[in-house]
Amino acid sequence: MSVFLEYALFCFTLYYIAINSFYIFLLILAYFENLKIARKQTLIEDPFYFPDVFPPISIIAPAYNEELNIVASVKSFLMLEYPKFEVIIVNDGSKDKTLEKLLEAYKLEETHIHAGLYLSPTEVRATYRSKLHPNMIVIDKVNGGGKSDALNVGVQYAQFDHVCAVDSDSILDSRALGSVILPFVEDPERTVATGGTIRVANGCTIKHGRVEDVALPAALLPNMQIIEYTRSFLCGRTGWNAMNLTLIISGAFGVFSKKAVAAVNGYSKSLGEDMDLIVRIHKYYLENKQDYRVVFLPDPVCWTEAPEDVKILSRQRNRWHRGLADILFRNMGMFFNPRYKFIGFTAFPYYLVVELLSPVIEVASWICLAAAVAIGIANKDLIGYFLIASVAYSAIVSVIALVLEEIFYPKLKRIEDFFKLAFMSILESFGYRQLSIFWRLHGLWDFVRGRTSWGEMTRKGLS
Amino acid sequence: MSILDSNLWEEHPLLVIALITVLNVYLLSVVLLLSLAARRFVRSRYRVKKETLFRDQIEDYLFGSEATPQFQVKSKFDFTILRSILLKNIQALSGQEKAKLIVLYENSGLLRNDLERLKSRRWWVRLKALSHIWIAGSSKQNEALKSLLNDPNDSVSLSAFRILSQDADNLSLELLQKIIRKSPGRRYLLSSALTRLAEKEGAQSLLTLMQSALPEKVLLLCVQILGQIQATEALPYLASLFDKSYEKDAEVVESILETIRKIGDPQAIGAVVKAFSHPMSRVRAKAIEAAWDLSREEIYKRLNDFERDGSAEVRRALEKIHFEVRKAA
Repeated sequence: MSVFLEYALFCFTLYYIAINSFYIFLLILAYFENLKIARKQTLIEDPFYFPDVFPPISIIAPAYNEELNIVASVKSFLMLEYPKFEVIIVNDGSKDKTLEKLLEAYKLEETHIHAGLYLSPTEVRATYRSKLHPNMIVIDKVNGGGKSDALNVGVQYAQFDHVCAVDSDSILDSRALGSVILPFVEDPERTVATGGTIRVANGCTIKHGRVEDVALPAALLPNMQIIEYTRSFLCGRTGWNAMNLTLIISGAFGVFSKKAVAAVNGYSKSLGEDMDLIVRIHKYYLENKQDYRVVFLPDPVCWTEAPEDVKILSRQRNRWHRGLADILFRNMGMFFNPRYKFIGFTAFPYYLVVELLSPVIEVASWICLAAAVAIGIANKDLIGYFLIASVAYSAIVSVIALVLEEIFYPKLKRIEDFFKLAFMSILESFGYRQLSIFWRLHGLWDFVRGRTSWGEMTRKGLS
Repeated sequence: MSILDSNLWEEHPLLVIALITVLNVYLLSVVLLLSLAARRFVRSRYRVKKETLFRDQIEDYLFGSEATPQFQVKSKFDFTILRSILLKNIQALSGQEKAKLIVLYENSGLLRNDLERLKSRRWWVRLKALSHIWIAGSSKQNEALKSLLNDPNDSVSLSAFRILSQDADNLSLELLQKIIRKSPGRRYLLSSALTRLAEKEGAQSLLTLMQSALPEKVLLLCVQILGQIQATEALPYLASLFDKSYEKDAEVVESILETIRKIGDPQAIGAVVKAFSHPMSRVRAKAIEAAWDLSREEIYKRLNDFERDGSAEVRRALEKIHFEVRKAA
């Protein structure tokens, strides 16, 4: 027994060293990628740029029971600093007062708007245009088909060649559109999708639909998520982007060529509709041997409200994990398939072993450690190495991600917030990480059982 | 048990080394994080100070003493701050004040710096410099701008064209043809250039351009712009293009129907009626929409035929008609 436990602990230690070293490798890639990206971003920071260079964009925000945030979110979309854009809100048969709030706040008038594409069979009850903002329209559709269907309806009504999918409970940075469209400006023929970073808005001061002051929230849970998001977006996604292997463009903020979305018949019903779309875009272009690129950018920022309640956060993580499992299993044919090049040989195996199965491996590792300590038979050195590899090493990865953020895209304004985040990066490994693993494991189990519901997500509202 | 405990060191030396290393890396990262944050705070304070100083000097120059201000520009950072303030003021002001600031921009060496940056190997640096030249008076820089028409980056060459074309003397069909050959895919930028040409020289210039061998994307743009400027004189050419493309290119046919709708001349209904029986449903839908605006009689005559058309596009076009009829009632 003791030999088995020691051997298992040794293997798990190696696993943690390998994973965290891979993260460090991604961080190094992300550093060089950020150097490249940040230089180009100066084009947007400078307010004296040519409006003609930037193509017009249709912003699509599906809304289901969003009465708390919808008016502020639309306001933030309308106040974006971008030469030409339209805002399309798709009311997905909300049961609350989402539509009423929009009708009142934006003086909506029922009008017929032509749908240029056909991607969704769902009935549209009415279309409205704002009397105050002619570039804002609302599509009122019957509920059914989920977020993906609502997005498809939005794409149908988009009048421009580029569509930007955003969550209606989020707030975009005023220059986010200019930043996120840059890859399309740079290479309009090859670029098919770009996406930006999601940041936690809890604790920030929001005025007139804009994040005016960035600060950390008082509650512990959103702070943990800030560390998580920073590590995931700045290290993981930017690193993968450096290798041109971006598999996820967050559903909360992504821009797509309408042609590419139409080519893959729009969003399909999935719990992870954002990743699913990108995977199908990769598949389509690789199968048709067309040159293309999907780009992730770490700076254009979309602010969102992170769950402060354990129950809601657990539902969110459970759903994310079921979505990931669904996409990976649906696209099993891409694994190690030469037709899909590096996507099949690197990104897919990574998402399977590291993202999907990590809860299983990590739970097993902690059980193994607990058993070894309880029985009192394990090699003490090994336990020390295990804790260094799993806890201390991952705290280092988190702090380096924070350093990277401070170098390229600084946002925090109070020195005490840095101390707080540095402390959180250690604290995260004691309790929060284990909880997160448990939720994801539960999600995996629910996926095996065939559970496909979205789960109720109540929010406090961004104010 | 303390890390410094001699027993721990003697019994587990490697573990202690690993622990100390990890701890040091962590602490160093935290120190680095805090130093970077402190540096940023100091820089932002410095920026505010410099901005206030430069702004006061500029205001004094414009509305107080006539003496040219002596800016204290010690670094590249100062230079950037000064440029930003001057450009903001040039954009905001007009008349004599604007002219004075443009001279000041030139005398401060900023324009020279922009011209140097036009030679940068990075496209975004060239584009940024170009936008500064555009704001701070471009008329004297025609030669530099013309050389950028051949820039390997489309955004740069088209933006140079944009600045040049602001001056009516520079805007010519030849120049536009050169740009079209180079960047046919830049739909949005080309569209604004073509619109400016049409506004300056009339629809005839576009018709001449369309008769040359144009890439299809540009041809479509020209058709759309003819609709935007409601060029009635383009109808005979559009009719012949419609006949030529009818069976070959649905996208061009669709675009012509939209343009005919925008021009709004009921005499053009012939082409629209022909498109009612086009094999592509989206063309039929477009024809119904155009006919609704040009001659409602044609729609009422064939409403039953349209209702029998099972395609989603035609159904949507009819929905619009029903909606408008309901609204009028």
